[in-house]
Amino acid sequence: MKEHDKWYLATLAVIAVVILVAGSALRPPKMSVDTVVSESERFRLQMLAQKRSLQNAAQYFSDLADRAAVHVVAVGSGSGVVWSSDLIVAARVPEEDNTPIRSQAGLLQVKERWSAPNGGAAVLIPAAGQSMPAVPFREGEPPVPGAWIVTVSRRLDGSVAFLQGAAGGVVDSHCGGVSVQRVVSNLPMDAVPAGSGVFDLEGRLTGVALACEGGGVTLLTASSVQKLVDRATSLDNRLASRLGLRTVRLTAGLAGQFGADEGLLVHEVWDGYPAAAAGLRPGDVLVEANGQLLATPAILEELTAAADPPTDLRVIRQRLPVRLKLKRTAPGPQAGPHQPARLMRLHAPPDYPLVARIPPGSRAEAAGLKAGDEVLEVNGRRPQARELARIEEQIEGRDPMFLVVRRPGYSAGVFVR
Amino acid sequence: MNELASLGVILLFALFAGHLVKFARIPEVTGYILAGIVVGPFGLGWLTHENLASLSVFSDVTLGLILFSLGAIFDWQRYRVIGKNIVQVTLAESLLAGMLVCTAMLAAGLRWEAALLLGAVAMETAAASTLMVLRECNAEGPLSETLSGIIGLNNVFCLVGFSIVAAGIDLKLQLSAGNGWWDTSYRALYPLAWQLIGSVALGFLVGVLLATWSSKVTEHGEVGILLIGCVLLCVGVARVLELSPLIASLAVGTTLTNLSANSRRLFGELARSDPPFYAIFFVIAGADLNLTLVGSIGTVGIVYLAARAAGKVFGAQISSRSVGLPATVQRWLGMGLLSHAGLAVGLAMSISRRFPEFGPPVTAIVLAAVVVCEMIGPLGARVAVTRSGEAHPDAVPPGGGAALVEA
Repeated sequence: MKEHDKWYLATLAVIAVVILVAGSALRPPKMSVDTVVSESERFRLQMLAQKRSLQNAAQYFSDLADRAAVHVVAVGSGSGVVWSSDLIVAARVPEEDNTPIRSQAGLLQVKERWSAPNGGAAVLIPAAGQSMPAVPFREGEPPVPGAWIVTVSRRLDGSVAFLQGAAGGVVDSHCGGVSVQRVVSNLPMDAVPAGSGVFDLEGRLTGVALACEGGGVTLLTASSVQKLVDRATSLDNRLASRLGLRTVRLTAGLAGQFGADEGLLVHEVWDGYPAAAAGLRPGDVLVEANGQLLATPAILEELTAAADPPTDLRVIRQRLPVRLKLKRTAPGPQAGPHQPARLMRLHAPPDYPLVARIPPGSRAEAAGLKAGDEVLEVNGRRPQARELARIEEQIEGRDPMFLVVRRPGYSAGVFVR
Repeated sequence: MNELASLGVILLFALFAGHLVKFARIPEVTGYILAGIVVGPFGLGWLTHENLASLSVFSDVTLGLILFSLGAIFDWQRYRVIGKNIVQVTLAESLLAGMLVCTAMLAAGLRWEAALLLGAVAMETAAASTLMVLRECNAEGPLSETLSGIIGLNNVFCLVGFSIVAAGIDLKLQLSAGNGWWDTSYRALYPLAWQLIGSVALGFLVGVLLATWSSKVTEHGEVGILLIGCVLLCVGVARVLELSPLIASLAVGTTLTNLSANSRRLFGELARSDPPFYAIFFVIAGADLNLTLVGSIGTVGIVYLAARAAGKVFGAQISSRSVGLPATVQRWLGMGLLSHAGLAVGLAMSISRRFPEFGPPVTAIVLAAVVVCEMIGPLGARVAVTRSGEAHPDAVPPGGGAALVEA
C-alpha cells in the first residue's frame, strides 16, 4: 500500500458505508429501471397470474375427480358409490331394469337390490363371483360451511363427470323414514346425478347424492348413508324394496284388534310397487301365502323370491278375509330418480285431514305421526270433518288406535298406543 | 444442449474462429461474434435462447472485469496529465453523437421522447470489444491511451445521460398524469443520484478491500481468486442494491490503482486469466444478435447509424484538436469509437419495459444498429490503431492488457 494516512482511508470507507446504508434505505419503493412496468402491463401480468391460478384450480378439481372416480360406478342412468366390496349405494334402479353396473373392472350384474320408497337410495349387491374393485375410501368429516365439495359421477360409457361447489353446513332431514343429515351446498341439484359421490378437497368421501322424500336429489352425509345401508340390508327392507311393503309380526296384543291370530301386519305400502298394485293397504294382516302360514317375514321373503308365478295371499282386512294376488312383475314407481326439482307445487284442497302440528312429548309423536301426514283412515274408517275434534281427543287419550296416513310416495300405518 | 456443453462449444468455437479470422486480418473480437452468430439460435441453433439466458451471468461478470481493468486509467498521478483532456474529448464526442442522433430522429418523425432516448443510447461506445482490439494489437501510444480512457468514461456519461433523459420523461408523464410533484420527482431523480453516488461508494469499498488484501497475497492463483471474487462481489451487491455494476466496477479499478503500489501486477494477473471470460462474453453477444433485424433496419436505422458515426468521428476530431492532442489521435480517434453494444442493449431493454408506449421502435432501432456496429466497430478500431502505427501485434505484452493503459 502506498503511504496513505490510514485514518483518512478508514474515514472515507466509513462514509462510503454510510452512503450505501442510508441510500438504500431512502430508495423509493419500486424505483429501478428494471422493475418499473406500465400500468397496463402490470394489469396484464396480474390477469395472467390469476388466469393461471384459476386454470390450476380447475385442473385440481379435475384431477381430484379422476382420483375419486375409482369409488364411483355407473348404474342405469345414474351413478353409484362402491360402499364395500360387495355393496353399492346407488340411485334407485327399477326392479325390472337389468342394466348392468359399469365399474372399473367391467360390467357387473345386479344380484339383489334394496330401496327406499319414492325413489330413495338403492343398495345393490353384484352377483356372486363378480369381483368389484373396491378401493377402501377414507370417510371425511361432514363438510363445514364454506368447504369445497366435489360431486363425482360416472356415465355408462365410463366417462367421469364432476361438479365443484361450496358446502353450507349440515341440516337434519329425513330420507325414507330414516332421520339423516343433509349437506347444504350451492351446487345446482338438478345437475347432480343421483348416486354421485361427494368428496372433499383431500379426496375423502363425505357423502352421497341420493333421491329422498320429495323426489329431488339431496346430498347425504356419509354417516347418514351408512344408516340407510344398515337399514337396507335388513330382511324387512329387502322385502320392502322387492314388494313395496313393510310388515310387523302380529303380537298377542294386536291380534285382537285386527281380528287375526297370527300373521304379518302391513304398515307401509309404497306407491307403484307390487304390493300397492295387488291392492294391499296399511292395516291388512297377511295370514297365508300359497297356503303357507306366514308366521315370520322370512317365509314371505322366501315365497316371493322368484318372479313367477304370482303369490296367492290370504289377507284379513277389517276383520274380514280377502284374497289377493301378488305379482312381482308389477312396474316400479312412477317417480324416477331424475325428477327435476319443482319450484312450485299446486295442491288441490285436501280430501283428507292433514296433521298440522304434533305436540312434543305427546303420544302421537311417540307413535311416529308427522306434521304433513294426510290421515286416510282412523281405526278402519275414513275420518269425517265433524269428527276431527273427537279424533284429536282420542289420540291424546288412552285407547289404542290405528291410523293410515299418506306420505309422499307411500301410505303407512301408525299405531298410537 | 445443457449449459456445460454449450460453454464448451462456445469456448472451442471462439478459439477456432479466432484462428480463422487472423488470416483475414479481422479482429479476434469480430471472429468471436461471428462464431456466436453461427452457433446461436439464429444460426445453427446449437445454443438456444434458454442456454443464453442461463449464461447471461457470464456477461455480467465479464463486463464487470472489463470496466474494472478500465478503471486503471484513472490513476491520479496520470489523470492530472491526461485526464482533463480525456473528459473533454469524451464529453464532446458523446454529446455530439447524442445531439446529432436526437435531431436526426426528430427529423425522421419520431416522438420527442423516443428521439431523446435514442440520443442518450447513441452516446455509448462498447468498452469490451474496443478494449479487446487494443489488447489483441498490443497497442501502445497516445491514441490507445486516449481511447481506453474514453471508453471507460463514455459508459458513465451514457448512463448518466440516459438516467437524466429517462427521469425527465418520467417526470413529464407522471405530472401530466396528475401525480404529486414531490413524489414524482423523488421517484424520477433519486435513482440518478443513487446510481452515481452509491455505485462509487460501493466500488470504493470493494477497492479498499482489494487493495488491502492484495498486499498479503502473492501467489498467482490466489491473486486470480481475490480479483475475481472482488469483481463478483461488486457486481452482485450492485444488482441487489439496484446500483450500476458498470460504474461500481470502474470505481473498484480506480480505487485499486490509486491505493495499491502493486496494482500493475494485479491487472497483469487479471489479463492472464480472463481470456476465457471474454471469449464466452463475445460469443454470447454474437449469439444474441438477431440478424433478422438488419433487414428491417429501415431508413430510420440507417439515419441513426450515420448520425451516431458522424457525431463520434467529428466530435472526437474537433475536441482532440482543441485540447491539443497529437495529430494521429485527432485523425483516428473517431474511428475507434464506433463499437456499440453492451450497455446500449441493456438500456434498450429497460426502455421497452419502462416506456411501453414508445419503447418498441427505440428497441428495434438500437438492436439493429448494434448488429451493424458490432460488425464494423472492431474493424474500425483495428484500422485506427494500425494506421496510427501503435499496433505491435507480434510483441509479447509485458503485462497483458494492463500494459496498454499503464504505459
